[in-house]
Amino acid sequence: MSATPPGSPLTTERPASRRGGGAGRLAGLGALVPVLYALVSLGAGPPDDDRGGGATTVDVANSHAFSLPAPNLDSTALAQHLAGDRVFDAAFVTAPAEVQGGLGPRYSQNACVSCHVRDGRSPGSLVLRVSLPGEGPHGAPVPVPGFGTQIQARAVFGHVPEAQVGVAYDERAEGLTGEGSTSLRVPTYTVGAAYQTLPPEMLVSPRMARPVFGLGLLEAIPEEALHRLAAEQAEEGEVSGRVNRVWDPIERQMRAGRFGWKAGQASLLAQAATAFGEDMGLTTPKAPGDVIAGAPGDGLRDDPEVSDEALRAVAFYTQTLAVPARRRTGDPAVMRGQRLFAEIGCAACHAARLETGTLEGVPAVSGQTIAPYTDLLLHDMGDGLADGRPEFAASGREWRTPPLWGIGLTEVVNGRPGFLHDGRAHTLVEAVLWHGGEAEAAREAFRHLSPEERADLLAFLHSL
Amino acid sequence: MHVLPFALALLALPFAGQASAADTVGVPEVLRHVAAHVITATYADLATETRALQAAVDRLAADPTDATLAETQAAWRAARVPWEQAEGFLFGPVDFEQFDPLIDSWPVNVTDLGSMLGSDAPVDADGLQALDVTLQGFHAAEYLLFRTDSTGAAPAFTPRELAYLRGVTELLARAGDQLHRAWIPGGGDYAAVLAGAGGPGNTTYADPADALYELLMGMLFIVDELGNEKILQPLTAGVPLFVESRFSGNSATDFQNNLRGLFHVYSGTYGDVEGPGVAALVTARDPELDERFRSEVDAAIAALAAIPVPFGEAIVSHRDAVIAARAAVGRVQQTLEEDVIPLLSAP
Repeated sequence: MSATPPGSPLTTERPASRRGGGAGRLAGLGALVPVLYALVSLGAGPPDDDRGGGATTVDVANSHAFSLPAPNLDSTALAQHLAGDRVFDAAFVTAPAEVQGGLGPRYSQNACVSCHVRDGRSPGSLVLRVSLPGEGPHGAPVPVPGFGTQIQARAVFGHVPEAQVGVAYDERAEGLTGEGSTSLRVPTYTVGAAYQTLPPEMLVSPRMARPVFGLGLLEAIPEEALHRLAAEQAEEGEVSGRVNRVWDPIERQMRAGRFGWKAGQASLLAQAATAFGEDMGLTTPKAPGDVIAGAPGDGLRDDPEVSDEALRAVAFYTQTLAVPARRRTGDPAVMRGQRLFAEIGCAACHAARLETGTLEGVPAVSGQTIAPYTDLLLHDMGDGLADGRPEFAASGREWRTPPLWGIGLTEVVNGRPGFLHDGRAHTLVEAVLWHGGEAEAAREAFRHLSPEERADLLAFLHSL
Repeated sequence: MHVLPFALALLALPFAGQASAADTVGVPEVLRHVAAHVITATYADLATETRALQAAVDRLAADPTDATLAETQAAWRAARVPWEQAEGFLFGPVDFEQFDPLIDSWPVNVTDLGSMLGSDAPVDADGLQALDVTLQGFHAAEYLLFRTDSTGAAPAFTPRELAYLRGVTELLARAGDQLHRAWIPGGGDYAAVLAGAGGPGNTTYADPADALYELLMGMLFIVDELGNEKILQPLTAGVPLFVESRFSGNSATDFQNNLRGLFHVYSGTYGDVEGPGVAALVTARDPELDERFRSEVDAAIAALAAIPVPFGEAIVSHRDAVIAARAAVGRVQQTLEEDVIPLLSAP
């Protein structure tokens, strides 16, 4: 092999450089793979309920819990996954560069892994989505002239960041039966130091990165299944989830939205292309322009900065990360908590059992019974969480039910990065107490549980 | 990837309460010792050595001579030692608080670094802190400290280059200190979290087996990355562009220290302190395996040390030596995967 000339797109063929000490990459593969499959298929197999990712489940409860390839990948798929892993880990720098050029000119972070630390969360990943009131083509949010749909708070040398985002917190006490009260952080966001005038009518929505494992399984859930779930909820009347309808820029058609905090992305390929463009300022064949809604580009004729091959490898990587198994499922407290989770209504949205269909090119995630604890539907979550910024069919009060699988491993993987769309909740108790709207009854039931019952419910959440 | 079968085996047969009658020490003792006397001690040395590097840069800036430059380069290499050893246990605060990219981002953003030096933007610690991490850390310092001109000589430093070096090493020393504090009582005390695995209220490691497995996977990941990424990728590409620490030619030393870090967790020995490491559990069950693993780690370190020229050159001019070193590293990985971890998964 020879070196790729400077300034050409990153491809997966050349060895991507490391970012930091190289946490969480498994580069080796080969002879052991057949052995691995033999062992996996021989696995004694704990009850299904433990294995929420179906055949993609792994039994790891340490810092690697979100970072492992699905154990049922064949050797070709594994090679593709590991190629995607390298791109996901790669830190990009200012062009022209010997390796990994193209960052910016304005950007939020320099690598996928900088926000999705260890394929999970990080407090440093907060970004502000912005738009103008109204609807653009296909019902998309209307970009803010000069800013696009996300504030880029950083810039390479010689360029000015779009603006700086500030957050201040007020405290609000919430009662908990038998335990006095707990305090919730109520955030207020400010945008300052803007490089040009911000329109006063601008809508903002803070967003924190989410873990990226298990996503191929969610992509493989048939669209009809989502509509069926919504219809069932309408019939039962407890909650009223809706399918988001979004523009898929890859397929160039309207499809069910399923990824992102408001289900604004239909596919992982579209999600990855958007993230390269909006988060890192990297052009791809799917999003070829550095110029965002009138802001100046880098002036270099080097697009796309990330190759189609690298883009697809990253999407495949997020499609094929393993789901960590549940733990302590036989613990009586966990079992009591699981019953309470259903009884008080949490499971109405955080659906514990779904079937995947067929995802083209990814047999590992096809035909699986999974327990993601999400219905992928939009729900009105009340005023407390409302951002007031619509995204396609999602209103300013609606959010997509986030998956809860692996949430009990957050601490060992990421420390205490915070929960909910902007990380405002320090703990799962705080996160539950922020629920409103369709989840108000469930939240009040949680509030009025006895301390012992609440401990059981949390034991269940920690077993996920 | 390779670790998955052992994950399944391990979960089937948890360590907690399953200590073999032959064990003279248990998992909790290993966790306690490794947390305090290997991991925390390595970070203490990182804090000390990065501070020493900062002091050396201050002397260089005050009096830039060949002698002060050589001293500063030596201080940079010395500070690399604990960091590369710490890559044998990359979990916890180093990730939670994003110290890893701050300390060791690669590649260096040389385009912006050049632009910064040619501008009047502030290059003290406060100014650099606002910049991307690819303009900070060990490799930004390395880029400036180890430059050579076409004759192989070090070019004279400009005042701004010296100011940049002072800023970047001040931030590095600060990060080293914060990372150390994250592991000690009075700071984040993550050593207590690891050592107290399975204890009441430990919401990070519900079981000592989970924490032991963290150590084992940490060892496995670094040896996998070393063999299959750091060595194999440049070897396959045949160009030094992809070699870490290529400005200083320190790569093979970095690699040896990766293995030493792994070995410290295994042996329980760090500096002058000895105590129960993973080896204590292995020896009680299979003393021959313990001896074999130790000799394989020694052989891999020796094979890396035997590469006669800087690694970036060796991948072109001494490929046999590099291939031999990679094979030796591969044997360490294979024994870990096929023997050490399965052994510890059995009751």
